Amino acid sequence: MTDHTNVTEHDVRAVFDDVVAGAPARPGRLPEVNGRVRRIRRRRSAAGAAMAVTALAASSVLVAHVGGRTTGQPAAPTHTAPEYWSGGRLVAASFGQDPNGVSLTFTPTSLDLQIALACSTHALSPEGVMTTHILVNGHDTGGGGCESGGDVTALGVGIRPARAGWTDEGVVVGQPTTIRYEPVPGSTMAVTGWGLAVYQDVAIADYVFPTPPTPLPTLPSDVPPIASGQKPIAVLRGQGAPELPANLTDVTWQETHQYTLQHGLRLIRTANVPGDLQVTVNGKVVWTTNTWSYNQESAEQDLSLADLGLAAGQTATLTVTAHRYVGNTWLLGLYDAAP
Amino acid sequence: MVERAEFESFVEARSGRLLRTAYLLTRDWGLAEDLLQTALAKAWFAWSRIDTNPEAYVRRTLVTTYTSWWRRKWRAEVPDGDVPDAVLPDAAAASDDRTSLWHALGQLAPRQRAMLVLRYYEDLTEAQTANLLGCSIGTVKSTTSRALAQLRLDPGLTIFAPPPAGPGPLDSVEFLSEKG
Repeated sequence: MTDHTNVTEHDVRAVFDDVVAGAPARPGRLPEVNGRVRRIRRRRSAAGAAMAVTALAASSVLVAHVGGRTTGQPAAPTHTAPEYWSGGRLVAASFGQDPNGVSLTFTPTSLDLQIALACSTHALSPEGVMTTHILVNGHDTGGGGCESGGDVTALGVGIRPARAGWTDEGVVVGQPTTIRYEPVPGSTMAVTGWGLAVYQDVAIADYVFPTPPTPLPTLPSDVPPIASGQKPIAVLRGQGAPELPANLTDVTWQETHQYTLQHGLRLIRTANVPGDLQVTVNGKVVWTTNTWSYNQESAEQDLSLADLGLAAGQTATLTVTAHRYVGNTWLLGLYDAAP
Repeated sequence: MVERAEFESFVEARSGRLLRTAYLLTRDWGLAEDLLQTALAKAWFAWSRIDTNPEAYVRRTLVTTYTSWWRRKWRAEVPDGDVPDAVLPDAAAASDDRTSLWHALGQLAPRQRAMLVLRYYEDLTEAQTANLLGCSIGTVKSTTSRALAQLRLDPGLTIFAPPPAGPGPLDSVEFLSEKG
């Protein structure tokens, strides 16, 4: 390839063929796909039931507020946002079907806020892609796409600002803030529904968790997906049958191990009940991660050796503390990997 | 039950190839697996309506789902470091070239990268790519051309540039020198 004067189609083809040659063997994909199908069905059933109850109650309350004054756009009459979501309590919400987007204005009483989103395009169409963005007081804070046939009451994306406090976006306690969720110019698909909500963080003791399913779910026995084909240096997990915690603030599991790291530390957490994990390295908290529902969720944290205050080859003492997770409901994969 | 059995056979038989496509899009085997399972679960619900070529349907779902993933996720996938050795052959010089090019491919926008994957890994025609992405053939041509042009401007790909003393001002050389 060094004889070429430019990158060509041939070079790109060669690279593609090379990199996929290292594909990891992955038996047993089908049970995981079937599990996803079951979860989608459950979500659709739950959403359908919620919409039916709402319709029976003839509720037309579309914009909710807690501790703030809100104004929102007209919206579909059967949509409501959950009062508690992802560690926060509902401040304001707006749902709509206007292809041009949806907005809400509220007056914050705190800056511990996150925005929850959902949007849908034509049902069951694989072409249903739409590029959207979020404007907070006119500041673009990111964007993404829509699910085909997605349920806009199933708020699926939580946004927090890169810098805590929303100050870069001009959010000020006591002053009205406007959030707009709209298509990026040039998008070609029509949106069939928008969901937009703002949540304010609350203390665990004040948070109302969803009703647990019976029986409580357990996690599969395999480890989480391994990035770039790397194997974990360890997998820590809760053991035994799942149980509800006796107290919401209970520490239910804690272990300390020592690992020698060459590159850094990647942590992948999977859990399927509400709870939190805290990870410390040499006594310093490096990650706190939460889950708030009974759906299986994963999250990652990448830490460089500099982040950890380590030199390559140095041994670190790692402590994992689980709050409120009881039994086989969580696991944590540890990888010796640079971010 | 027949449809369910067909779906299961399809997953067992074809998901290896689809996983590779997902990896070229996401650049991470973990994300690729997540993307593939998401696409397969979507396909499960549409299975009875897929008349012909379920693989094309799943591939379309794979690509459209990928390009609709949250932008923060897209940002997270942009590699900051070197590609792990395990995914490239150890054959010295060629490996260096390809590692650089693989890194440069990671800097492309998701839709640009999807176009290149469909055209140069999946070997779809321009018309098939346009049909899959719901755009015109002209868009496929221009996006692919721009993606290749962007790769030629990548400062990390100097190994692909002609010798500095070479005759004639090629566009890519001028741009490379402008970028310093």
